[in-house]
Amino acid sequence: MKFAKDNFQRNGALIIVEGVDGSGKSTQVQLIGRWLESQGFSTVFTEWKSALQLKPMFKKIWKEDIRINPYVFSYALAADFYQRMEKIVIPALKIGQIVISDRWAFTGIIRDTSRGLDRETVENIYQYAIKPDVALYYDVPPEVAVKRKTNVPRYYESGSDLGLPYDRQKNFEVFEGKQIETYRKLAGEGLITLVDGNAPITLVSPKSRNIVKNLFKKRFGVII
Amino acid sequence: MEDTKIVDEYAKRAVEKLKMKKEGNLIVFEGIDGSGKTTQVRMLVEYLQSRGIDVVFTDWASSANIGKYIQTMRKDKIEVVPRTFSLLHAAEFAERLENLILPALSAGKTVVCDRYVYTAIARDSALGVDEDYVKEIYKLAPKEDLLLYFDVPPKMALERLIKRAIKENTAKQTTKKGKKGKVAGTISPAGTIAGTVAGTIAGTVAGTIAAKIGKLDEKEKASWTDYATMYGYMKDVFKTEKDEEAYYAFVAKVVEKYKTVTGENNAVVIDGKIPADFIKTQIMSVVNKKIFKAE
Repeated sequence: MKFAKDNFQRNGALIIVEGVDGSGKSTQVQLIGRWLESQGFSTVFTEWKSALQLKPMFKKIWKEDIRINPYVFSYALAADFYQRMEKIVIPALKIGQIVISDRWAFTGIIRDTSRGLDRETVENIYQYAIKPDVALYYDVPPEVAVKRKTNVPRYYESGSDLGLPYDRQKNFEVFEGKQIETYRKLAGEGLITLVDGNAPITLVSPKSRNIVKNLFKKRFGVII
Repeated sequence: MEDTKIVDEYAKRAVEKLKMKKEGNLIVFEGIDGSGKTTQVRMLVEYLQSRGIDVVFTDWASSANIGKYIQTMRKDKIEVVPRTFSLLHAAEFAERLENLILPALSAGKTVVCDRYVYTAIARDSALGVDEDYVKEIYKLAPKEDLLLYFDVPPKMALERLIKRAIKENTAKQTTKKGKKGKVAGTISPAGTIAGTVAGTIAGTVAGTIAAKIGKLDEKEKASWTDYATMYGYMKDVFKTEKDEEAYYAFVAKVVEKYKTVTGENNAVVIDGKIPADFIKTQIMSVVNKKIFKAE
């Protein structure tokens, strides 16, 4: 996967986290954010599928389990991604803030290829995504991710829109398995940094922090 | 990892569905708002139906979910960046493709589209989105059998839009059902490019028109059907000369791209300046010759 070259001055840094539902990434992202704030950095948080301009559209489709085909799914989420990238992420990077993003274009690749689109097609859609300074991928075995999930899996998160033949729970299990398989492939290609998420929170966060510390040392010459 | 094969299998099926075999004919109408194409689309649909042909008509940005939301965005003037605008319309198209266009075409029906991929190519690239990118995200679109491009000077198109807005507004006020604000929503320039830089310009145009129509009394409205008055009125549709320049500059860009891309795809060019009845005859003859292979 190729990223777009910055056509702006990147004064801040972009830290992104990836992982399947139940990988613990959202907990980690919160901890990283709080820690950086405590170090005096100004942070901005953004997450997948959250552009205000499109929220009512997604809300309706997701709430009512309305089936949209894999291409509609892909384009709509990419639309959301670029809106946030251009209006939230880039402006923050310009003024030197640390942007923490829960999911990045990799999620598009993972989910859209799991829904049958070619990787080349998806990479083309996300060709304007800028490169994260750090991309953390929280890896957990499918069984662990599934076990951490306490509520009944939703329509899209379980891949039920594909018409998978089982019930929601079982669909979720196989769909998570598929996504983890692809995530590991991306990690193998060096696109995302694999962090073993199969441990208690307290043990996972030092790993995350060490990677971020390295970034700050390399990029800003500061030791935190 | 045996289980993940199941996902691949079902995913493949979901995507293959969008590559259905085309049996029926696909007729596409393109041109800027106010070029007269919508009137002609309606007439052609009626004509085909009168010949006993099974016709399905479909409008731009009209799908059940994404299309509906795009309409809300227009109405509420929600602005998004050009790439988001482009991807959202591609999503809408992909939704309509699966739910309407492909089922009709694979059942051998004739599908008539008011705007098609050329609209996206012309408009999105005028907004600054790379043309190849737009073409790529519309790659699922089946190739049409007949492409009609309505060529009309932008100024004339805008005049028609204003006339239409006045007419709709007058009709609404007569039946006392109309809301002032609705006019902006029914005027096409605001609608079709809302949510963009250019949309802001066009939105301002439409907003200005709507506000003025709302204020004027019946007598004055009646006089607007007169072309000369209309022309005078048009002069202050734009708040500033800069707005006017920006509006025409954008439309000119769209038209330029439209001409190139429809030209590359062997479009039949329709002179949108001539009376509607003449155009109707011309289109019927083209359709009979190209689609039904009549002498």
